[in-house]
Amino acid sequence: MTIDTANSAQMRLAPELVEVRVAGTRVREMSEALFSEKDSGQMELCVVEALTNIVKHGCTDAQGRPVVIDVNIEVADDYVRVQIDDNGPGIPAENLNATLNFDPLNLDSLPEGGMGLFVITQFVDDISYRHDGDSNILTLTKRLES
Amino acid sequence: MDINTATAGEFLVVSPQGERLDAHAAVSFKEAMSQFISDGNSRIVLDLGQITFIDSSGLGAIVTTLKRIGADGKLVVAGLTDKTRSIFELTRMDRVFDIHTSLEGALESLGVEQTA
Repeated sequence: MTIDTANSAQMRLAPELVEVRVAGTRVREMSEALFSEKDSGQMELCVVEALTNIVKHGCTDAQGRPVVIDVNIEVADDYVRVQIDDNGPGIPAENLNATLNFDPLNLDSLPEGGMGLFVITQFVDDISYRHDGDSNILTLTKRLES
Repeated sequence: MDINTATAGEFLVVSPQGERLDAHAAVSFKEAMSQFISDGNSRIVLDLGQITFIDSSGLGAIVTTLKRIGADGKLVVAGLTDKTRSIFELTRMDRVFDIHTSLEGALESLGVEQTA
């Protein structure tokens, strides 16, 4: 089996926000080769949200080793899939069913953060998350019409 | 992040430069907005016309700014494209903010006289 490198890419990131930008832009550019600007922008946003959460929750793992983030991007005929592996603390189980509740008329009730997972759940079709030993594997799939 | 400012009537027009209002930019954006508010600006038009990407951290920073201004002040968001508007709609923040597509439209609706 041959791997069409135009449709897949692997990146290793340091846990820094500037690296998140680079990965997000790469996802959008690869997706835009086949899919709409809107869908590609939504996938970029979801990947940026997931990577930002990892970076914000620590630069070292439980043993004090640097967090390393591997991003695997795959663009196929009818989907974009991004798998993110990292050795950070991972996503608390209670956060996986993200909701967003506030009263638009009540200033105090408005969220200033913690919206990333909610955004992801709204814009991708499949989310798979596995915490396995020191490793977290998050896979986001967006199904698309070309 | 670089931020340009101008005065329009009783409003301070704040225009962030650079394309991305993301987690990386959000920290300095929040600090700059806090400074404007501390300086006595409670009526602000946030002109996002240069911005092509907003994530939830950037949106959160705008919410923080709204809370700092408080109920007695005003924060109007202008210059949103279809793309940058989508995160406001997805999170229902479009019901919280007074949103305008163009800066000119925002100023017109606020009754600010504009010179050519």
